[in-house]
Amino acid sequence: MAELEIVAQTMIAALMIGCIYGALCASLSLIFGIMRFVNFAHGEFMAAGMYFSFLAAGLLTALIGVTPFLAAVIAALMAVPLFYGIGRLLHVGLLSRISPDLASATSHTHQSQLVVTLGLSLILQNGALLLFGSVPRSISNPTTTEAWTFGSDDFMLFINKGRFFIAALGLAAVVVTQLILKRTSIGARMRGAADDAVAAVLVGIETRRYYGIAFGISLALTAFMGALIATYYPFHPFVGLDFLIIMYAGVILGGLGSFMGSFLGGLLIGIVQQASNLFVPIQLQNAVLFLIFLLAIILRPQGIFGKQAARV
Amino acid sequence: MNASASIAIKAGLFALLGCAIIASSHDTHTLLLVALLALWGMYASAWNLFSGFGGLVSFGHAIYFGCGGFATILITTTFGVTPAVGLVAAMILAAAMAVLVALVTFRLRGYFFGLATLAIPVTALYFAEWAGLQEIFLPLERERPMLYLQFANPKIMPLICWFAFSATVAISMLAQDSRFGMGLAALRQNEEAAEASGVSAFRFRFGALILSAVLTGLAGGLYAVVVLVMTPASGFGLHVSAQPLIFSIFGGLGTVWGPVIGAAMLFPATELLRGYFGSSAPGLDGILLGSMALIVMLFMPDGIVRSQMAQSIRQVASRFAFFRAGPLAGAQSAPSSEFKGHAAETRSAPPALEAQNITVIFGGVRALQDVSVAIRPGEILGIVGPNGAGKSTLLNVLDGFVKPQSGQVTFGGRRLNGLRPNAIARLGIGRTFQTARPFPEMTMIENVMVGGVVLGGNPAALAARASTVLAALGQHDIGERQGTILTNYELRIVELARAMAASPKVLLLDEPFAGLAVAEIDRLIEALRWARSQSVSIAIVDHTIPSLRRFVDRMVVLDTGTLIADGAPDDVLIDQNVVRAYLGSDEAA
Repeated sequence: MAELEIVAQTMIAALMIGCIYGALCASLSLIFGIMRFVNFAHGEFMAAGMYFSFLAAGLLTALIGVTPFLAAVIAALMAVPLFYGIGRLLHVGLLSRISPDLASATSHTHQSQLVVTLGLSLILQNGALLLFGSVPRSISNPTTTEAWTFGSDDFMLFINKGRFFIAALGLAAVVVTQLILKRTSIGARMRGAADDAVAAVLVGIETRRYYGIAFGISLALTAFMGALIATYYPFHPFVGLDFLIIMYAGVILGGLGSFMGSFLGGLLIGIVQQASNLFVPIQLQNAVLFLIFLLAIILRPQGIFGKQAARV
Repeated sequence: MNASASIAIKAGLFALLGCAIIASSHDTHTLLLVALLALWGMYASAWNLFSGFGGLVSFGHAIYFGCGGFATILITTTFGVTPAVGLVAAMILAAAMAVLVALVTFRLRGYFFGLATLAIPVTALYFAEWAGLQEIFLPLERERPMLYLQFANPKIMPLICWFAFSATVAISMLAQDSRFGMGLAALRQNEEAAEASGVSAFRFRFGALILSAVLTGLAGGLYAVVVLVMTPASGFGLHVSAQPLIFSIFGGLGTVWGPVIGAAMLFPATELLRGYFGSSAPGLDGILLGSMALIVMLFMPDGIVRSQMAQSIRQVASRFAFFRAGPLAGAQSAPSSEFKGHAAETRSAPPALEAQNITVIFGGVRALQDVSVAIRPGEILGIVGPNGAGKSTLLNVLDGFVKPQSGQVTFGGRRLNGLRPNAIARLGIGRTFQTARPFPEMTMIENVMVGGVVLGGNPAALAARASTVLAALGQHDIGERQGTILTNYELRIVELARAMAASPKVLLLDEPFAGLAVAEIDRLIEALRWARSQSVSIAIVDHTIPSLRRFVDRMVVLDTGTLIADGAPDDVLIDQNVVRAYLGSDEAA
């Protein structure tokens, strides 16, 4: 009975963590899938969302007296337009200069992208170190330590309130983004630019603009999630790297650039990570993810949910 | 002056420069900085040996650096031996890691390779933390300082580091001027063309990675001896992987002096920031490093060494003969008769290259169906057919780029199935591509030299051989030009020369006449006749029969993946099936 309880409890935690990871992976897949762009700095943008949330939530709690958790949710919503803008600016000022409009990426342009985003990642990490120091920060709040309990004394399950809300908000954000992609003309143009950049240009789509929009939405989504995750995950300037590999593992499992596939990939990563806690010491949790990630790129570069993708 | 003497002098001067810097520094902090500069310069040069020369950018060299550092301290403290033993262990462990990394990542390209290499040291970092290696120290041994490399004189360790740095630079220079370096450069610029010239992508890059990892492991071990402490972050952290990469790209990726100059310019700057602002404003050094990555990629992606300013400095410097000794120094003096003699004497009639019952299926499309073709000794065979008939696929099967679903390829009775293109090329099967694939950063003579890499010999001999081949093909004057400014005809000749420089027994030519003017076609046919006079069998793919008819001995015709005719050109030309394939069935007489 006790073992069953542990398994059930782990599955609940895994589903919630999985939705959170799924949203992060989906955000990365927009860059990967639409722009054919490899972003080493994606984890750092999530970390930037965390620090933004830290500042904004502190301010909101002091000024209008909302609970810290609610303040973080408001901060997450504020992060969306802010990081969308940052994404557009970065794309115009930096990324579009090293990446061809037509996404005719070769190995060589991929290496340039990797070097540039590695530089961005160093700047963001060390910028956070400069501004906030290396001490781990957190947004202390009661919500992420409270839980709903179900069942009786011999079979009791907990659902952490904070995780639940964050997972639900993450799922909602993914659904909204998916609707933008599938139901709006902007989304249709983005998908067109992704499918066949040359054909898109020939029918009058400014691919560069839609790559910029994709990058903006991607940063907005990742910062939104970062702002929420900050309520339960203590963060330091280098936290992005922990999440970067989770994101790439999910994106690759999900079939390289398929938005919903990447969400499912992230969900799977969450489940595997939580399940691994039953067998592997907690310090090696991340190492397990890295091994999954390596296995994923080596064995199934086309993803387990995904379409065929060239390994070049 | 020959090339190796020039390398020895340059490396010696570089070592002397370090001695002078160390001799003139007096406080221990400066000496520590010099030692660290030497180690990071050494690390960047070692990184560049693999990523710069070979063209696969590693984002995870920290795995070798960290393993080197940790191995040195752990071996020394566990067994109570001198760190010198630890340094040897560091190099061995780094080499072992390189074997693992190569097995895991070498089949990956582009961002997959980058991500996989990035992930490896980060995984090691978590393992190191889990294993309780948060902070390990090299104990101070004041009793027997010599044995523990803890010299009373603070100048000795910096000198050792600088000598290791100079040795790494010398190895870079030797590698660059050797056949090994030439093969790596060819792979970086066009992997398929390099493979077709007999350069094995796996073997060359594997060798480069082992060499690079051993030197990086030594740098990591020396780093541990100098700073006496390793942490997971100082061994496996992201900045440990990023620093040599940014130094090298800043200075000039794939050049000998780029990493040296990059380290010399950026390392002191980052160290000064860390020294002065490390406690009040930590992170400024990382911000500088990251900004440099952006600035270099945006404004001078080729690095400082290849920049305009450096070019003009070099022009001034080149007035002094000392700087001019290069690998091509022997090229002009070589007698031009050597090549012909070599080719004619060493070989009798070449064996036949045969394809039997080849079937190739791409997705659902049968590109070739049960096709059998033989290239007989000494003949010129034309392989013709309309677009999409499967001609290029047949060539790709013959030299290993495409694996057939069934059927076999034999060469003089030896089965070729399953061999990599480079192995097939080394057996004496050369080729040219439908779209010419020169190595764009090389001069034409260097392009042709790559073809001779498979035969061995020093670079001067390769250069002599290359100019002989070019001269025989009537192009002695294009040797020093780059691939980007040649005409279509010249590119085709250079590709032909590259293939001929390997003294092939069989040549496979994929549409060599495409896009050429009539006069150029005539000249190219002359060149091919010369090639045959060197006892080479030739197969030429083309889609027009008349151009081939004039000089091929035999012709086979493919249509939609099947062989429809085989015989003398004039017979094939009036063959019913061929006429139908070209003109359509309604008009068949």
